[in-house]
Amino acid sequence: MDKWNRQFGTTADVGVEAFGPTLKDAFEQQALGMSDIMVDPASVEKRLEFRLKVSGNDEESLLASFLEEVLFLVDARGCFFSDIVITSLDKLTVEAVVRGEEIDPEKHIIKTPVKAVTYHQLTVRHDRDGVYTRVVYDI
Amino acid sequence: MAEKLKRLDEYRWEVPLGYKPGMRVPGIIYASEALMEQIRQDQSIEQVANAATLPGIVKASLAMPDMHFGYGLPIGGVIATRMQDGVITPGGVGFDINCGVRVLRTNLSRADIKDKVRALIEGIYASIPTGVGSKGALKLSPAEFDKMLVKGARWAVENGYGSRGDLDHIEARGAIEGADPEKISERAYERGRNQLGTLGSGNHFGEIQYVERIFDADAAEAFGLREGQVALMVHTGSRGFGHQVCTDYLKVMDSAVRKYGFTLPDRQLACAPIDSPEGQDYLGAMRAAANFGFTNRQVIAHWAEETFLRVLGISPRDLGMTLIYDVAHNIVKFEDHIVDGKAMKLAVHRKGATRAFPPGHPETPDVYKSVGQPVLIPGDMGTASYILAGTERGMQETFGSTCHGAGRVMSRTAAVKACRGRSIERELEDAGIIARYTGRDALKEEIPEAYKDIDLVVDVVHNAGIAKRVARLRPLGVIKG
Repeated sequence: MDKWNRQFGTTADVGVEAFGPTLKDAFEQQALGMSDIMVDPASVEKRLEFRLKVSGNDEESLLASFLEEVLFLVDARGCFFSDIVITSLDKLTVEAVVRGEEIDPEKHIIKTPVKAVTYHQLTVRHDRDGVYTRVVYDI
Repeated sequence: MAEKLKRLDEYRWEVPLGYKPGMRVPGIIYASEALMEQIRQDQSIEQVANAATLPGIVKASLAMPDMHFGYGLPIGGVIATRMQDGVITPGGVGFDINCGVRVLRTNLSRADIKDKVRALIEGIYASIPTGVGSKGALKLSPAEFDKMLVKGARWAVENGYGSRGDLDHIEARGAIEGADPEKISERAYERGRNQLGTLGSGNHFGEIQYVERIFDADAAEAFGLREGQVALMVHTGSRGFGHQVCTDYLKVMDSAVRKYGFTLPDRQLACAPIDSPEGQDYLGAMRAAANFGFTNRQVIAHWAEETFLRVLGISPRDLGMTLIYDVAHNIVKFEDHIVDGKAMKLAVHRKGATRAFPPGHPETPDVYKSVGQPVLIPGDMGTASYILAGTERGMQETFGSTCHGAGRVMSRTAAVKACRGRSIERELEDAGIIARYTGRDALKEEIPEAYKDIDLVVDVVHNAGIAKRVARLRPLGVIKG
């Protein structure tokens, strides 16, 4: 089964639906989808690397915490990311490596910054073909 | 069968107690028939009803005519909770803590800058970092950053950004008391430390405007406004710092809901009793973020003033740029109000709603005492913005609150689609508006059609009597993130 993510609109904000054969794939796709709201990933080279580790109480809060961590790195490290790989997903803990580079308005095709990950209708659903996730972002 | 929405008069609609189980007070929505049509299209009425279930809420869960879907409370929502048994909810403030607006007047007329708007906009764009990941020119040590969080705009003035007189014209004199840097997470510090003095993006902007029309001569005179006059409007907030504070405390509140045994219809209304450790910690952090917001606008306006002086080559006296007012529209504050004839101290949550205190109120600045507090309403970049004044009726009905803008009706993705094959920059230019922006889609997402008609929104609050029209301002130039 293919992996994909796509954006949808809400009144003021933007959501991402993301899918993958496994939870890991679906989480990665969701994070890449979030990144894609902010910047055209094709314009971002993989020069810097950060490792992250987060936990949650359930799959939904784990996904939210994972996305919040990636978003935190964008502001705190001043970087965009084009490559997000989960290296371990076990017992509601995610470890991941994100790669990208420092934000450069001259080089990057910048789109819209994301303020926050919301819990509005946040969905992680396992079905026969894989895992579907849905997240709305505050813009 | 749940009760339906009741129309009370031309501009007021009641969400009755029977609309949804658990409502402690009714909801009141301020809207015309036409705006109600748009409001019904998302889940915001449901959110007005949800907020009415919060413990300790008094009088009514209110919503302004620019309302639309938010997280927890709708954007445009106002609620007040009692000190003794009420709750504090970050979902009643929003992610962008102390998002707000300031307007500065000048001695210039539109004709004086006719051929210089582009140079001014280019200059302002160059002096104020905008867009994702933009870093401010201000590098504060951790100790200095903490001082700023407590002192707010006063910190900016003491460090050479603006003048002491500015503080008299800022809500709460630019610093909410009780800010507690200890309650700020390391992550919020890291996310926000480079962002002081940055505009951000989304609907945030800096605009050069002119006063197109005066509606109330007395109030306009008190505010120092005249037709044809050039003004500067800045709309921004506490940036990633405030977003992280909200994100952090939504988690804290999520646990608090279980701890205090609240049953809530929406996880994003997560809350804690006002006098609980969780409630007090959020308040301490929220106030610090609010003070970041006041400081941010103080610094940005100072840089914009320097740009005007440099580009126009005139003296500060000739420019005459002075602050009319600076007011928040995403905040929770302790205020004194009268409910059912009784004086009460309440936690007033305004989320996409502007404080609008009446003439004579102790917090209305002395120079505006006879006409009411200036209320600043940013519109979309192609249409208009308004300056209103607070009223006694607003004080009685809406805890001294009114609308905060036009309010979106079209999603950002739909707006970008609607722009296919169009040059928004050219369209704005044809309308006499020069735009400078960072994000590829920044102008497309903010097209005038994506918003409600600001004139209709302001008509409602004016005609309902919860604020009065003073002036309409048209944009001449805009910078966006």
